[in-house]
Amino acid sequence: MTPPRTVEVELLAYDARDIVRAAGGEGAGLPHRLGALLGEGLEQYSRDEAEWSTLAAVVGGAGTAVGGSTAPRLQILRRREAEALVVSMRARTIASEVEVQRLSARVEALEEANAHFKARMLQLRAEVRRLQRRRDQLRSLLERRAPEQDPPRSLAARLATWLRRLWRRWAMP
Amino acid sequence: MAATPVAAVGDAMTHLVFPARVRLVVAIPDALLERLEAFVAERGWNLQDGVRILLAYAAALHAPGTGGPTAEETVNAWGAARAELALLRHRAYLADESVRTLRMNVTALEAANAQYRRSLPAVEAELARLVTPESLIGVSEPLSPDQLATAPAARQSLPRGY
Repeated sequence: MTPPRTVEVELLAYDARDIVRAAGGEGAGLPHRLGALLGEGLEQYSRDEAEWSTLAAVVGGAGTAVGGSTAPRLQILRRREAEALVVSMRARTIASEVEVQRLSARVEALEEANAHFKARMLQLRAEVRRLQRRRDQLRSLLERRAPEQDPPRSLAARLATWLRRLWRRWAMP
Repeated sequence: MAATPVAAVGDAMTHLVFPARVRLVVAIPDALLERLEAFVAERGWNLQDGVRILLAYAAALHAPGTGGPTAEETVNAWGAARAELALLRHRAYLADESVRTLRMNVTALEAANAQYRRSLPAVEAELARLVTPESLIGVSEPLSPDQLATAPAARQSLPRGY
């Protein structure tokens, strides 16, 4: 005989308390007792659903008879179903909201790391650009040839210059 | 232990208070499991939802004080349950949307950070290669053009590429 399959379900603690109480309370064999309760729930839900279909065919879909009087049995069945759905939905909703919180915290941490990386990258790139500019500047300075000195002037040229100055002084006192 | 408390992930960081949650282990015999799977599939539920709904359904029948509510009480309780269900569905929808968006953000940010981790060492290596030219020729202050022009030693001490 194969062992029964186990299923783990998450519930709000106060909903779980009612379910555990209905299964006979905490203690040994609780998973099996919960399995039996589940079987009971399946039977009852199926029976109620069949009953609801029969009743709904007689009275209006909203549980109101054609003459205006409500069908109490239909309301009871609907209440049972809605309350069971609420128990399940509470657990699902809270689980999703907790997941939102967990992911938000993760996104926050990742954004922080991202900002740090971005700042570091910008800083490094700025430093690289600064050094590249400096390197290019130094390279151009080193590659520039030193200005050549004028060749020594001849005696005739120096005499011509002296005569020009003398002429200017004589012509424009 | 069958009822295990669920760790409240993120609660301490956000200071948001969520109701306590527990995990229940349910042992389901094979015959019941077969019927259960068919039952939940027919209604479009998943197995977890089906187990929760049916457990709650059965538990409500065992609960004390549900033997003889008046018609008015029943209608009121039904109305309250429907209202809570509508609110929970809306909250779950919003939360699921947020989860989807946040998961995309996580994926994008993880990819961006991984890219930074890959490319930062290359930029750091480039920076290490670009040591200051002044340090190569043994001075601490930046050289003026005149100093450079009249410093043949400096020209010779610069490596190729500078």
